[in-house]
Amino acid sequence: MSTTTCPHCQAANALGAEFCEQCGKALPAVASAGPRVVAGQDLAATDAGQTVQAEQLRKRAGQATVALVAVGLLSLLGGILVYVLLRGDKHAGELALQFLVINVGLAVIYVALGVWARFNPLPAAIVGLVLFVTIIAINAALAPATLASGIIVKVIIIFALAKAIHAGTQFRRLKAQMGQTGAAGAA
Amino acid sequence: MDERLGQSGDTPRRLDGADAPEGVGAPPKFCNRCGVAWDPAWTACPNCARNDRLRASAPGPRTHRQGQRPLRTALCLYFALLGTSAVGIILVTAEALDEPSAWIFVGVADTILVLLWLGGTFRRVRPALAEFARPGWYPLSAALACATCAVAAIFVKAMVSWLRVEELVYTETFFKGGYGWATVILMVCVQPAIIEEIAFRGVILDALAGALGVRDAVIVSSLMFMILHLSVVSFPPLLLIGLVLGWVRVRSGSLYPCMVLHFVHNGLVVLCEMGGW
Repeated sequence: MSTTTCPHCQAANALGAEFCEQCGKALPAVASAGPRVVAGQDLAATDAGQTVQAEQLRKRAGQATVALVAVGLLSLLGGILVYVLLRGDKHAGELALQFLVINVGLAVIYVALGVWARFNPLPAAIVGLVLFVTIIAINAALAPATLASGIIVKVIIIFALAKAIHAGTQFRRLKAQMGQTGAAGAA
Repeated sequence: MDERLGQSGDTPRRLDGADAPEGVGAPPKFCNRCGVAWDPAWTACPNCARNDRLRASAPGPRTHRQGQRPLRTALCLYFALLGTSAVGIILVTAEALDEPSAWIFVGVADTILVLLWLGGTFRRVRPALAEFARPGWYPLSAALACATCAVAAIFVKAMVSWLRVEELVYTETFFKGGYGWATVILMVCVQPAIIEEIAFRGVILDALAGALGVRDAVIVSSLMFMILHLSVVSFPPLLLIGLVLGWVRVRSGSLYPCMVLHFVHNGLVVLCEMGGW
C-alpha cells in the first residue's frame, strides 16, 4: 500500500508524509522496519543481557559522583586548613583568604558536578576530569614540585573519572541500541 | 498550469519531486513535510529548504562514522590548548618571556593547533562555516555581547574589591611590554573571537554533540571554555558567555554570529579599560 489515509479528514496522502496535504494536521508516524542493529563487541546481544549490562554500566558511571564529591571535600578541607594556619600572619593573611575563597568555589563546583553525575554521569564526569586535570597542570606549571605531592590520590581520581566516562559512553550506546531494537520490535 | 503537477496528462508529482501514487492528486493546501500552508505559486517548500540547511549545519554527526570518536577529538583539542597555556605560564615563571610576549606565544600556538584540528575535522565543521545565518543574528549578537560584558564587568569588579586581588588590565599589560594598539586589538579581540569560536563552538561542540546530544554538548563546551580561561574569579561570567555563545551557535546554525558576539564582548572590555571603568 503506497498511500496513507489521514485520520482527521480521510484524505489520501503519500506514504511517508508527515502532515496531511489537505487539512495540515500531523499524520501518525510509521515505525520503519529497518535492519536490526548488530550488537558491538562489548554489548550483549539479548534483551535480558542488555538490561543487566545497562544496570552495571549505570552503576560504574555513578562512581563519578563519589570521585567528584571526594575531590570537592578535599579542596574544601585544604582551603580551610591553609586559611586557619595563615590567617594570623600579616603578609600571608590576605593570600590565605583568597586561597580559601578559590578552594571553596572549586569545592562548590565539584560537589555540583557530583550531584549532576547522579542524574547524568557522562557529561559531569567529562567536566570533572577536565577541571581536575587543568588544576593539576596549572599547579605543576607554577610550581613543578607540587606535581609529585599526592600523586597516588591524583592518579586514583583521574582513573575513576576516566572509567566513569568510558562506562557512561557504553551506557549511552547500549541505551540507543535498546531503543532501536525496541522500535523495530513494535513495528 | 501548476508547474508542480507537471504537464497535463502526466502522473501527478509529489512535493519532493517523486511521482505520487494513485489517489493522491488533489492540489495540496499544506506541505506534507512541515505542515506550512502551501502557496500554489511554489515549486518547493521554502520552509523545508531552510530547515534542511539548518539541519546540515547543526552540531552533531552526519554519519555513524562521525559519531564514533567524538569525545577523544574534543578532549584532545582541549588538553592541547591547556598545554600551550601551561607552557606560557612556565615561560613567564622562568622569566624566559615577559607576560605580553608569552600571551602572543600562546595565541600563535593556539591558532596553529586549532587550524590543524579544523583541518582534521573540516567535513564536520564545514556546514557551520558555510552557513552565514540570517542578517538579524548579527545585531542580536552585538546586543547580547553588551549584556554579557555588563554582567562580567559588574561581577569582576565586585570580586576584585572583595578579595583585594589585582585586576588584569589587558591594555596595560601589552603597553608595558612595548606593544601597541594593533597588538591589543589582534590578540584580545580578533584572535580569540575567531580561534576560540572555531575551537569551542566549532570542533568541540560538534564533537561532543555526537556523544552527548546538543543540550549537554552546549553545557559541557561552555564549562570547558570557562575552565580554560584559568581565572576562578571570573568563572560565573565566563560560563554565562559560553552558554550564550553555544545557544547562538545552535539556533543560528553558524559560527559567524558567535565570532561577532565574542569580538564585540572583548572589544567592549578594551573600551572600558580605555575609559578607566
